[in-house]
Amino acid sequence: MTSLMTSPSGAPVGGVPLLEVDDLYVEFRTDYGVVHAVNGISYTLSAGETLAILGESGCGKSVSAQAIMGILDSPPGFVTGGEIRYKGSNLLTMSAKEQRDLRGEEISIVFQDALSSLNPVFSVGAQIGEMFRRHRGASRADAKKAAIELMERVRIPSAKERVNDYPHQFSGGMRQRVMIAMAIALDPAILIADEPTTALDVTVQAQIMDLLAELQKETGMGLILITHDLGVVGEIADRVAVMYAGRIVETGATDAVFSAPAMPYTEGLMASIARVDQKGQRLNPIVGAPPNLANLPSGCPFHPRCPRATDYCPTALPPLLEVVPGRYSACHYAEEVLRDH
Amino acid sequence: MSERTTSGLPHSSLSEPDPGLASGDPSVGSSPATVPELSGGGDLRQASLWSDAWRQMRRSKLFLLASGMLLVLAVMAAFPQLFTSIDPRARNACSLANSRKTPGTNGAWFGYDTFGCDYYSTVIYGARVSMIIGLVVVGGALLIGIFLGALAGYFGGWFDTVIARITDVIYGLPLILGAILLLNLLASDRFFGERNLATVSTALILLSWMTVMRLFRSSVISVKDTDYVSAARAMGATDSRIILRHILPNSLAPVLVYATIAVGATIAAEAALSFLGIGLQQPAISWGLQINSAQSYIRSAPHLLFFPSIFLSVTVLSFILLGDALRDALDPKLR
Amino acid sequence: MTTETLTATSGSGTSSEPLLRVEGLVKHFPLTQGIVFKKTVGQVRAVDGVSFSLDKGETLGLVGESGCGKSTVSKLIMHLEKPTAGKIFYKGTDVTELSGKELRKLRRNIQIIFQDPYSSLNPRMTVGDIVGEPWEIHPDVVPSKDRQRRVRELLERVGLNPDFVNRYPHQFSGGQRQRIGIARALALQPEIIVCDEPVSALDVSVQAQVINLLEELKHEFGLAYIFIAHDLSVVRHISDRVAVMYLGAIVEIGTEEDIYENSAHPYTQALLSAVPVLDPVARAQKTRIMLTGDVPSPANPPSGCRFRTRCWKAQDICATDPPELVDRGQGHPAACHFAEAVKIVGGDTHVPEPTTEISAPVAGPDGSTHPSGS
Repeated sequence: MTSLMTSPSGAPVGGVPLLEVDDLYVEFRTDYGVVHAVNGISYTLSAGETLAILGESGCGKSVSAQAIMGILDSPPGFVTGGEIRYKGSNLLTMSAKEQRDLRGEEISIVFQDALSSLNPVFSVGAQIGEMFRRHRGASRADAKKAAIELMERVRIPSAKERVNDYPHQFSGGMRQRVMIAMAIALDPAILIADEPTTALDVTVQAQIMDLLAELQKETGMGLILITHDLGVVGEIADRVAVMYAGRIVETGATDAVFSAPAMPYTEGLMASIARVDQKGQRLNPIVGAPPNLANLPSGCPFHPRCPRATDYCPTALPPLLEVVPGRYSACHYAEEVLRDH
Repeated sequence: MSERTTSGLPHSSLSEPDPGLASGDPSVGSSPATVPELSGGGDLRQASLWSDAWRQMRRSKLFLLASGMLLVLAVMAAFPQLFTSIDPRARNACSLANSRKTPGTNGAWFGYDTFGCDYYSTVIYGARVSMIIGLVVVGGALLIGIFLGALAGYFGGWFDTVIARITDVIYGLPLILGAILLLNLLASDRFFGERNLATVSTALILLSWMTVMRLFRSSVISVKDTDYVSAARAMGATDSRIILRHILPNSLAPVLVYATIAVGATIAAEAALSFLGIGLQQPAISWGLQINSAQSYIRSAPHLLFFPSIFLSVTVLSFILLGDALRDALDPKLR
Repeated sequence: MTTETLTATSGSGTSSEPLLRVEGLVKHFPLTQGIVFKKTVGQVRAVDGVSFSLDKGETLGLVGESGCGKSTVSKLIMHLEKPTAGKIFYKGTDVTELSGKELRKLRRNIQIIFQDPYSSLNPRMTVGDIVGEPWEIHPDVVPSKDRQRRVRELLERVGLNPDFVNRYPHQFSGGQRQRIGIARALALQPEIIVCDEPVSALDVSVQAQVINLLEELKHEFGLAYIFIAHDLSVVRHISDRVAVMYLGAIVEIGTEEDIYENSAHPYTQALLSAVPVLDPVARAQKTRIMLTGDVPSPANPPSGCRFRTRCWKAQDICATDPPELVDRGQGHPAACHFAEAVKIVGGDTHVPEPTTEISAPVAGPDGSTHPSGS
């Protein structure tokens, strides 16, 4: 698989991409056995690019982000293979101090649950300002000024008055803005957004997605968007990587993937969702449920649920191969699937 | 999209059924054509949360140690004859000539107490009082606490407020002070007439039900708001059915953990009261009384203090360890 | 299965009266301070005057964002909360007045499916006990000797292996648990099932399985659904009629087509515009409306029209006169002084001619909102 590591990407030819995840493996060692959460995923991210990692719960999409951020619960979680390279240097072999300096400064993350990510006993201004005090050694007054500026940048109205408010005084959408303000405080090159709008209402979700897109345009940062929502991916991602059972099963430019999927799982997901823009007939669900990561099916992990599966599928794990230029699919019959659309 | 797994792992969930049943034409519904299989393997039939907890506990070494100790102590309390051929309560069992003789004298492992009784058999017979007090008091506290807690938590309103104020008042009273007052009151002729096992148990029950009540009340309140209780109400279930069938079984876990630990604490409390001279009285046999009478001879006959203290500590510790193991086993987050 | 028993209970209502009619439903929760001497310091107007009706075999979708009161409406219909004011008629009988035996009898006919498949099943009961419990409360529905068999039939009908009757809920996946909840709701052979966000806690690929099951059951048993959800796509898929709620009130109600193709209330339009669209072509045609700010607190709603603080069409009249939920010529009722039907998604951006006398302003006085057609 090594030959593919850098290729399924939109990386500028010749240049080193911002982030390269290379054949990453993560497992959780529990009393009940080893859970293979991430099984050899590879992707790259360039500056100014939005990569969506799409998948259902338990597909390993959040775990891979935690591995990048070095916030994996360890034990039981362990990175057992692969490399995560930031501008060419491997994060996993750096010293703890180097890693700390990078994370927060260069790579930062926004989580789904803004309320539990904020400390309820400090004002939001203090929490945003803390980033400057810790990383930049700013004075208390400077930190507060910077916090107000940031709150304005994430379009929190009347930031000056609200800088001393506490997290519970903000609505869900405003709290998520505070989280984003903290994440972009140090001008990171990469922002990872892990289900940033799942807990929010749809009108607020639209606002936050808009904000992320605008901030990205302003700063040129690379954005990794982790989500289960196909619509959100369609709206803002340049490229999408579809994950299933800890592996990337399809990747390519978003519109290309969604208009003609090359992997039956992607195909199934698209057929199973209701559309707001049309009154559909019957939904076509994928049969069964996502697999147990402690006990994966043999061969292609999707074969028990796959309408196109043949006798061959349980015997061999399909590698992620290029179907057409820029499009990769981990299906033995990728070309056939693609042709059908 | 968070599909939580209660056990913390997808291990115990079954694979989704073949939706040929769900999505196909209705006629498929009558044929169990595709039967979902267990994905985790093993025999999961009838695995209730309690049996899961039991399986979890059996793997804990501390649980095995504590329950082994408690089994020995329980047998000791029920059949002290199995451990010693001497009955310290029998006439002529003691001889003042042996008063406070050190261990080893005349083959007495633990020596003799002030009255010349064989100390080993005396200490063995002390287990019964401790066990009875511990179980009776905690049992009584559970009954009162669960009953009041269920009513206060389920119905709320003024009843809840009144109960909450009463518990506050009793909490405000220091245990020893409350015990002195209650024991004097209960030992008066209007009630028991003397300070015996029943007097001490009643006093301790009256001073210890509040924690059970509060614990149970709060778990009732959290269970009351769950959707399965709403579902039961929506189908027309009566309050008593909801409480007995849905709320009680799901609110018991924290109270049971507390109760197990409380048995140890109660045994220690009885010993403390007896040591202070306001608990049981001679000629009753209890570790507290033994420690009390040993205090005057701490230099000349330290063994009088040593043996009952060891038995007391081991008993209390065993209950606490048991409660600990129970809490770990019942807490799904730790699994 | 047993369709005959289901239909047997339903033939009694008069032909003109809908199955369920809700009139001026109000639920205020008091905000209190103090522990011993409680003092009411305000009211959370969770539901503030909601009226709708539901016919036999119909699915009414109830959409709105969190805090709009849609879940409180479901609790009121289920008699899990007592309304502050208003009436709920089931086949012409006001059920808010009922209690005791009559209430219990009525409860048979309206059942509920909950959002959270984890908290909706008692973890200490087996699946068989959970599905069969309704018959212990209403023993006349199924005689006790048949119950074992009927539980197995129900489990099979919702797509579960009937041999699982002795298993406990935590041994099932989220989708399977939701099926158990559906089987329990079906046990009493109800006419109405209130579905309170039944798929929003499920994985994407499992949601469709449950939606399809609900649709099949509806046709098989002639059920009427009140389908409450925040996901507009799912609501469109399953509903015949749709009501949009904002801050405790219905702002627009109509057929699925009225709401999704010809939405007339600015809030509905904004809501539709905010839904991410997968199809690149449809997305390109979508009218972009970005609302500013958040939903105001239901403890202190704005005067007049409740949406005016976020509305780009707001005028002076909106602050003073609460708009009635009536048809102003757009073909279905909408609570907006400046209602006009617009197609937001899934079609051309063509804005139809104003059908009302008052022509709507393009941008609000504060310029707060920017509907930028793309």
